[in-house]
Amino acid sequence: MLAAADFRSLGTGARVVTAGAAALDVALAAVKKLLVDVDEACSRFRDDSEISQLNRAAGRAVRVSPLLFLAIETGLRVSRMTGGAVDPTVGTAMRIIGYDRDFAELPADGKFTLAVRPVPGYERVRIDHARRTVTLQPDVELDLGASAKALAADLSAQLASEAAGAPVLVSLGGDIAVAGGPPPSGWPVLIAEDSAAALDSPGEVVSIKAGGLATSSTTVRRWRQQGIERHHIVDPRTGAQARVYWRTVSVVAANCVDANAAATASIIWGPDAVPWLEDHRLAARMVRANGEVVRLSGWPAAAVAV
Amino acid sequence: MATPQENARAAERDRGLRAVSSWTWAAGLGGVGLTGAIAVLAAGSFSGHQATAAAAAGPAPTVSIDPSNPDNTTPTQPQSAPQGSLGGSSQPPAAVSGGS
Repeated sequence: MLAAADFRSLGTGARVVTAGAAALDVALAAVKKLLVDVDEACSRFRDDSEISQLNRAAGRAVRVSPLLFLAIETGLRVSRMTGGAVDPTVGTAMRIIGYDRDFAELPADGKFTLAVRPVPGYERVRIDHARRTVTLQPDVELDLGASAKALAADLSAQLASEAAGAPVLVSLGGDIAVAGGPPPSGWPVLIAEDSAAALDSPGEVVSIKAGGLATSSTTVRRWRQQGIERHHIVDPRTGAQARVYWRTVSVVAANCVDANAAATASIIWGPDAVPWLEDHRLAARMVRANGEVVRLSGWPAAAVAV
Repeated sequence: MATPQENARAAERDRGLRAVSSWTWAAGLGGVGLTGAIAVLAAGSFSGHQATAAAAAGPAPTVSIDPSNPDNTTPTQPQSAPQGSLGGSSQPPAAVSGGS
């Protein structure tokens, strides 16, 4: 018997599911506490967050908390893993395309600018493990965005499972991590374009027993900037929003960070993502701009929930 | 720069994150690429390295190097889920994975 609770955190919907109702309260408390810490450390939409202070201190070494250090190092690892397709130095580019506050606060049609340019690049972030310091070069502004959310899912699922002594699934905006061993038939997850879709929406349902499942999509978190439709996935090579070849990509990996990185990078790479995903044996479901679905590396054939 | 209140919050986070170092999951996730990051929390004793990599021009090469690793030889690769951990399901979903 699964039990679940929903709430909002990190600017998106969050859901905690436990195998057994008795574990839910403890698991929920553990997840919420970690997410408060992640928000205080990693949100670029908060002027008082650690990362905002770090961004204002570009040019000099700043000692940061273990949590922010972990998030930054994870972001850099994701950048190396994707050859820079997912890059935490997109902060300035995100502001330029108008994504400069929590999504719920974005104006319906913001001011327009054409000043896009390639992002500075993750190699311009220097980290010192011994001193736990981070140095950003002067024109670098970090946005840990997706990788921090996925990391929070991985960490909170593990924390919650240990605290509750039970299997736990954590979903943060549709980025899912599971821990503590699966229920007998696994964790059933609906695959959708929008993580806010109702659980009884029609669509494919897959079962995961370990690791992480993440979906990136250009169809949600969209806004208009002087009449031009924008989405939130930036191509670091141009500093502009990524061209839409795949409108939605879902990936299953050994953890949510890797799944999220692969899904987001695939949106940016377009057709070149297919051999990369296959080479790394990452199961993926990819939806072309025209709605055609491609399944890779053992992603199961459609099982439709009615 | 930081107010006493901010410092207190950061100190509380530090205490909480120290607990991370004892998590047994580090062994599990460490094998899938978070080793360096978790090790920072566990020991915090690596010497510093500056990240370097080729500019983004397409998918990452099959083998890349993690410059944060002390011996600089550990590949940084995405890790696939254990075999058998993904399948179809006819159960009512417990969660939704979608864009956000």
